[in-house]
Amino acid sequence: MSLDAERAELARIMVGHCNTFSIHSGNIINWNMLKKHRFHTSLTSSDELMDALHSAIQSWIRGITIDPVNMPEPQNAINISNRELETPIDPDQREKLKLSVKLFLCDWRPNIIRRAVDKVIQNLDVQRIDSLIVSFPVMPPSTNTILENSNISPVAADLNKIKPIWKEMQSVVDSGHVSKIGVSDFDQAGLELLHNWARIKPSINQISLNNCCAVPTDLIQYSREEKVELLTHSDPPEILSARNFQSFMSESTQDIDATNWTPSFIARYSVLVRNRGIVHSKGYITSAERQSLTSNGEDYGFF
Amino acid sequence: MGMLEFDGEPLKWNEIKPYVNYVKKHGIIQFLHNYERLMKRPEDILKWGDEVEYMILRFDHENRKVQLSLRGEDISKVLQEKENSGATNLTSLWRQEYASYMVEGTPGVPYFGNMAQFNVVEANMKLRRKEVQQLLQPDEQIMSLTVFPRLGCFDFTNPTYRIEGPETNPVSRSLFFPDQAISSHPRFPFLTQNIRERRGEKIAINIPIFKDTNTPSPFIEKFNDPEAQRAAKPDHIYMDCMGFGMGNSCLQLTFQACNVDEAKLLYDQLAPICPIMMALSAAAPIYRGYIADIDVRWQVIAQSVDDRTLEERGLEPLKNNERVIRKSRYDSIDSYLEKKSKIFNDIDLEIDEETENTLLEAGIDELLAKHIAHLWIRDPLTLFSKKIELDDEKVSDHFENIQSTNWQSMRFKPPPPGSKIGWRVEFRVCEAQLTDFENAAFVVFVVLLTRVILTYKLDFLMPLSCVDKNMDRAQKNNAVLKEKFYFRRNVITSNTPACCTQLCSSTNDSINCTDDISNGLLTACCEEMSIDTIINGKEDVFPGFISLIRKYLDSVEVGVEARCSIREYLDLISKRASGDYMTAAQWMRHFVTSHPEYKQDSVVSDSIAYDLLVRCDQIEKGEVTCHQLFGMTKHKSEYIAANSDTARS
Repeated sequence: MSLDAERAELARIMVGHCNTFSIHSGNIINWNMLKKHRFHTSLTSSDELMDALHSAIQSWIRGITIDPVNMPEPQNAINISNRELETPIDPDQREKLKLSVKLFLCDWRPNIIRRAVDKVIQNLDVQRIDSLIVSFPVMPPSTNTILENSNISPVAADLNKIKPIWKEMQSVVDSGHVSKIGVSDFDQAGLELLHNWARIKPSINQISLNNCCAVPTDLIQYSREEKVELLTHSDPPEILSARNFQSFMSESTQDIDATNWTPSFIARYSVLVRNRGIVHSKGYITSAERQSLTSNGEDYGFF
Repeated sequence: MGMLEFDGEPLKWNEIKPYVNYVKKHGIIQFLHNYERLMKRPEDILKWGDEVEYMILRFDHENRKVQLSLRGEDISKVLQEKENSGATNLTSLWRQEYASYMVEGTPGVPYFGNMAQFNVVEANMKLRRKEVQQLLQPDEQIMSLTVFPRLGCFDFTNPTYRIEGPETNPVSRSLFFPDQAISSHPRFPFLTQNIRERRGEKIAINIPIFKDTNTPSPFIEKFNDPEAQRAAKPDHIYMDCMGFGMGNSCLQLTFQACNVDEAKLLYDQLAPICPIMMALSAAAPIYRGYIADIDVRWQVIAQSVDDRTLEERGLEPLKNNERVIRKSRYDSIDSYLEKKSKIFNDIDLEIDEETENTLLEAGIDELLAKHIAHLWIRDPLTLFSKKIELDDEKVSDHFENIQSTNWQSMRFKPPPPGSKIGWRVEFRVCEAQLTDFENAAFVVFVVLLTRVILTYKLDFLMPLSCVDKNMDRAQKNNAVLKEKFYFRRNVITSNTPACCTQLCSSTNDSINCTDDISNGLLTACCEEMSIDTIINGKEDVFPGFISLIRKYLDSVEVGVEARCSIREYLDLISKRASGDYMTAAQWMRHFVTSHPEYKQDSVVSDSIAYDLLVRCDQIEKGEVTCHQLFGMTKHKSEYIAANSDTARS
């Protein structure tokens, strides 16, 4: 077996054994540009994330050391980070930088918030996130657009699901890990409901770029009055579907049990140089879990 | 045009001559004093601003005639009252310009690095326009027109002046452009006269005429002046003074960089962008009442201030002058400044050796020393009798004197002494657009492009000889769609030197650009592309500026209003590049040549010009939509924010 094939095989076994898998893309600001053939106008953040995932896992596999005497132990949790693309944040420069995170939740478990914040802080080696925007799990297609004139706000219907999550958002502010918190794609009614209920108010609402030239006046009005910043994003409704993640896992690691993987969150961070309008770094941290625990992968001893 | 403070008597060229070496030497001493202080500057933040030049037009609706109103000078005095009374935080600042029918306006405070600022630019431009319009008479209009189509034609000014011959205008000796249309501040007439005297003859501008079916061939004009008759070339539109160039308007941008190195980087990286933006902003197809075969003002201004003698132009053997100089003092840059760009400095750089030696001895790096020594081949053109002996530690007048009369595509500006202002670069090639929307679009586009360059560490460098070829092509009739431009095949770096291996070839990583360059194949890094490819991208060739900017915008926090405006600005630039929208130059050509009174003879009569400018004015005011120039805009640029503190927080 070639070294590369040995590495791939080892990676397959390690992934086969683990139940949680977290992948940090590293700084994709420079690297992503290198693939210019993929660089066209229709490139979405989903494509960007997928590229980042592939690149990070390939870099991990390339870095596995084959040492028959000292084989890596199979672990329940694997955390990988694309070390080829690290752009550390210099603590002396931290005040000049602004770290913003958008957290895409793939399910409604409130404890994901804390886990995600910890992961970002750990991976970037910082003390604090300047702003954290939460994007709730994808809703049925008919309620995705904020422009729709339905009487019942999609968010209103879900406020009971949102509350426990928002409590966690408030708690990461309380613990000093996050300065500002916000939401995305809320209409005026939803924003008002959350705003009235919340102890720590959302200070940002991110609107899809498709609607940025036609934001309803009630939303503009309300945001101005309550000092909620209306920002823009160009993310698709679902940045990473379970199916896409599963095919990524099976393709990149030959994992035979890939269909049981589901992503739990994707945290996208960007670090801006304040006052200069320059992006210092940007990356994705993806965390996934394997649901079925009946078979714990292959016997490591088989190797 | 800067440098308007004066003291004492303005000197004529033969009076300046004895002081030429003094001014040059002390200009360098001033620079060096300043430079020592400057190297200790703490890191500056991004600040930037635009400059738009406007013309005041007077419409005679009864007789269907438009003239340039020579009230610009008086109006700019009124506009400057607030600033002169010591008020700060103004909406706008105003400067007198070369021609007395012009005014120049800038935002009152610079813009900063946050994204909300992009939604203030256009609103501020609108306020500026309004501020001027309020001071005008009912038949007068302020317009951001690059060239007045009947400039230099009979009775083109108001009031009108009869010109009998060159002696009517002692300053310029023009047959067409009355001295009264030159602003009265001594700098302007003395600049005009001294350029002409240094040159040793009248200014001669020859621009190829657009040959239509009824245009005489060869096209030869008769002039009542032997000098003009000699200088005018057949099949060209002949113009004979500085006013034909400096009397045109443009759109300029200035950026403050965080330090000297970033300023050098921006200077270098934006230089190859100049021809592209020039072609995209083309708005100057008509000169002296004739349709020209060019779309851009650049070579007209270059010729209009060309103070080189016959010897320096290489037309006579060197006797009294030191060297032959290839370009006018108004032209594209001749050297890059960053160390890693050096390899692309492939055009002859005339330098003043003494200046270079002084700078090198003082520890200035080689490329900056060469850059300044190149500017220093030019003589000072204005000087005031009481401003000759100066305190070189406190002022930089002599440095600025030469620096500010080197009108190049980019300008590298050291911080002025005793000021909080940092290192700046100026982007000087864009033509003024008819509307604030379009002007704002060009400004925002270029600013965003600088952020993209710095964020992604892109590399647009190419041999300067290629940049110069692009500058020539960019001025041609419909260059934006018809010409191809040298451009980097791969703009990606991994933060590595300009001539790194991977950036030259996307298909074959083993091709080493360094080898190519050392083998003299400087152009291996470039290929010829259309502006559409450069702006909108083409698969497997270049991603395009627009998608690079969009990519960048997705990584920064942009508010909904600003993003909506930016989107429409990018849309405008994108469609100009693709040909979905016309440049102002192409649209004007089209308007004139399809006018019922047009006789297919290249002549733009008073009444055609009247109809054209009435339409331009209606478009600017939004009374008429012109789908050929741009689409309907939906965004809301914020009026109130233009001068409020919230916009700058």
